[in-house]
Amino acid sequence: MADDVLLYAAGRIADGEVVDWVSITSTLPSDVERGVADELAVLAQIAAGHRQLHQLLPVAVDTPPNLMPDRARWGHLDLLNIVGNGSYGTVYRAWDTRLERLVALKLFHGASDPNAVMQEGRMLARVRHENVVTVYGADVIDGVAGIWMELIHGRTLDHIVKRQGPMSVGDAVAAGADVARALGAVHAAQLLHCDVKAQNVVREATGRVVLMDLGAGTVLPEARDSDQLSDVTGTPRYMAPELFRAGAVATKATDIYSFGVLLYYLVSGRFPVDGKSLGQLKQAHLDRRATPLDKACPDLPAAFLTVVARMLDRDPAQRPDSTAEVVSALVSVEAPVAETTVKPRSIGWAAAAAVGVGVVALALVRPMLLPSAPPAPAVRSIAVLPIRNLTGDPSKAYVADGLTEVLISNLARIRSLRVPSFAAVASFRNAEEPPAETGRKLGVDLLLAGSLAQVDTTVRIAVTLIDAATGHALWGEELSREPSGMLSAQAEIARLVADRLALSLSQEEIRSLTQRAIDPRAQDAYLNGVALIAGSPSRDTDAARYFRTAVEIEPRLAQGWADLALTEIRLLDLSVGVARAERADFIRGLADHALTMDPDLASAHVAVGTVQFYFDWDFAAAERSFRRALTVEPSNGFARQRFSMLLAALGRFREAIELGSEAERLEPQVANRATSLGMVHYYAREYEKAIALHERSLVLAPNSGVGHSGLGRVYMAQGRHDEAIAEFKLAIASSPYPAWIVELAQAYAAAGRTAETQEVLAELAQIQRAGRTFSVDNLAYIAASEGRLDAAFDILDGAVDQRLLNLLWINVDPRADELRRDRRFDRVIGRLGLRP
Amino acid sequence: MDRYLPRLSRWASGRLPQWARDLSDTDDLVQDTLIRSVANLGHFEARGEGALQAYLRGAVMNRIRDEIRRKRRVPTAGPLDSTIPSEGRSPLETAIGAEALAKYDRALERLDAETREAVIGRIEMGCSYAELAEAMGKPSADAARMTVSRALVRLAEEMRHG
Repeated sequence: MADDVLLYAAGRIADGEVVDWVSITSTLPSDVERGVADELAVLAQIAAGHRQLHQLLPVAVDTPPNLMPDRARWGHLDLLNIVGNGSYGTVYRAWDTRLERLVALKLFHGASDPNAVMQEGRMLARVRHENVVTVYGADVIDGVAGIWMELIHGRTLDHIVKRQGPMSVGDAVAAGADVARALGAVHAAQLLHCDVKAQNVVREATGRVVLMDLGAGTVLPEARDSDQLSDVTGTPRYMAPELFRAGAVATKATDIYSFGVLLYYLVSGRFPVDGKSLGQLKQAHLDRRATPLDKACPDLPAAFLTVVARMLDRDPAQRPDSTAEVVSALVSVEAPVAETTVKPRSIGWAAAAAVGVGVVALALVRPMLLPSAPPAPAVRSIAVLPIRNLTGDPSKAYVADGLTEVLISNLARIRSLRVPSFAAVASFRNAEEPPAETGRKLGVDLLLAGSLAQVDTTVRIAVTLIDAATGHALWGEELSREPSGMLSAQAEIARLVADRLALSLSQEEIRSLTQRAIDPRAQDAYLNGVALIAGSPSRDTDAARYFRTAVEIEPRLAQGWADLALTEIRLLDLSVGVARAERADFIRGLADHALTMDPDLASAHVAVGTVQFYFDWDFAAAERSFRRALTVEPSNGFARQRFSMLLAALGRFREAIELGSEAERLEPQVANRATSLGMVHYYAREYEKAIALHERSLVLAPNSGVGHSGLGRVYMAQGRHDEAIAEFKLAIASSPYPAWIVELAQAYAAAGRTAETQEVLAELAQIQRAGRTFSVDNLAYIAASEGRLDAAFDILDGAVDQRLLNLLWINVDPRADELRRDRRFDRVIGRLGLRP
Repeated sequence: MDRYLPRLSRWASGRLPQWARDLSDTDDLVQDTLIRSVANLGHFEARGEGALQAYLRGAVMNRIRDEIRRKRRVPTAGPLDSTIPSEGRSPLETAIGAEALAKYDRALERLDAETREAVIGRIEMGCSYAELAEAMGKPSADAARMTVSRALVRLAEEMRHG
């Protein structure tokens, strides 16, 4: 069966169609087949590359486009095949060679007035709504007028009813509410649809409902001229009674009547007024021979029957005034639960069905996506999976990673979303497990999967929004951009996701999701830097260099300045005190500069807060900065983690644990979140919880020195010296970080193993002589444990003079308990500004 | 022949680096090659239009290789900025990456003639399924489409082996 899936994908490549690789690979059972699918993805790029060449050297066309569709061209559009014919002209599936995408092209017969077509194009372009087919452009080329628009893949509601029988009320309400909103958008643009019918509404595989064929725009003269229904495709059955009178004109009320007929048809498969010819229909209207819906289908909910009856009222004045009224009436219909059988399909549903995997749950997805549906949870969580690099060029991996990080930052700016950081999602780079499993591990409701492809100088970014619980694709979008527009594309994707989830954005949020196109070289450098800091281990020195290049080329790139500030902080040797002061001012300058351009940039606030916390020891100011960061970006796990550590230093454990727990819940896959919370519990003397968290962090990041040293400290506090020694040794084995060597010495001292203590201390002296520095506060603890209190306080005073970072937690650190009993300790705390 | 020329020319232009296309007019190069090749047709046993096209394409490709060898200059240092395509690359290499394209070409060479023709005809030459059916002796456009789909899967399998 896997062969069928691969053949299906190959067929789509051959047809020049977009392939949903995420769905495809998720249905394939083995690495071998997934490997073949990856190569097919490369072939899709090669095929697209060749199509691009058509633009460079078009094949001569010697017959009019509307007569010879195959490989013919109209302007910049390659005509692929005919998808429909009508009295006005022909609709083609076409390839837009400029924007590299498939479109539907409607070419009008020579008899059409080009000016009228252009006028129609302009009117249609005014309608912008998710449930209305989007018009891309209109033109007259060589005397042939045409309009090109979004190509919709799906089934008409007519097809669905004919194939599967009448819909359940739930389905009809869901589709009807979308049609009502679409029609509302048409009316709001001061247009009439004039041809609302089941054949003109398409449900895409994703569940999206689209109103098609706008701009029939007239009162269907052919319908009134003809006496036979066969050649007018059933449309007269949707016509309001007043339209059968001579000289009648279409109105909003006639559109609403047609819409009523559509709803009637969806649930019954029949029409309120029917006849075999136009004459019979006219007569039936005159005789008032309409079958009310409650006679045709008596068991439907009363609210549904009422709204349909009003829409079908003979008197236009009695019909609902607006589509908004219809929407609110429809969403108030309570469909029996058993009847709602809306089955949103994943984009790759055909493939999934073919192999019998991608199990279809009957959970309802649609209501969640409708603004008028029962209120969605106030906060939703969405994980951006690492964007797949389908450029075929492994050296472009940094672009994909950088864009992933930028997309995460953009989505995180939406305050009603919780978005795990890149560190949390990095391990899912090539995950082949079902989305539900990924969602569970990441603790999120939604997944956003994406891919990056490049065709000549155009970059194509495709994203799919997946319901983690059901694995269904909810929405997909493909953006083609010049390379300079890659960052702005991420901002646009974030806005589109917000739209799709019906999240209402504040003006601030909308503003923060605006990114202009920037110099491609700056963008390239910035993405390089972002990918380096997102990587594991992060390469901060190189990243800082890239960020500097980016802001030199584009001084207005606020994120560049902020990320440079954060990177510079990591590059500081935190064990060295005084020399940092100048550097700290420099870093503060970088972050402040970012904030003058973008006051809502969370990363800049975190950088400023860190400088205030680590270097200025201005804890109140640091708290304000972290709070500000979390206000503008509640998802920022890094801000949460650092703020939690600040609160712990101040002894505000309840708040610290709450924040740290939220950070850990938001990003259960990030080892640092667990270690940090473990440290907070350690300071709060909740040792068992601390141990559990450090152990969890070691599962996530085996051999992590931070995890082992954290455990070592807890064991020390519990008097389990041998276990502590073992953990510190493991930490040092992972990385010979001097601070851990000091802690090992301290553990030996506490265990009374004097010889080993001296041995390690000698090693430290050597390290110091070699010019390597380490935080000396641990030496004070050793001195204290040996009863040498004067020496301990001398060391601490020196450490305060140097503004050593580790001192920040001394007021809560169990290791300082011995010192805390001495009155000199209060002076140290006072100098640090930690006195409550 | 006339109707085949534009496609062959387009195809060839995709295979030539920018500088080579600037130096020699692709159309002339293709035309010249075709004339020479047709003159040599006496040695060629044509088995249907597809085989003839393959023969002509091979001739053009060889000519392009010669042209590249002849025109190759001392390469300048590539631009540091990876977003600026190297001028030594063909449009296809720029679009797809030289490595991926080389892998594709190698895998293509290993396929049997019919499978290769199906891929090149549809993917590279942009032939319609109806044209392919005619050229490859398939009963219908649908059959040609199926042949292309199978050929792509076959090619992808081959590409896995490098």
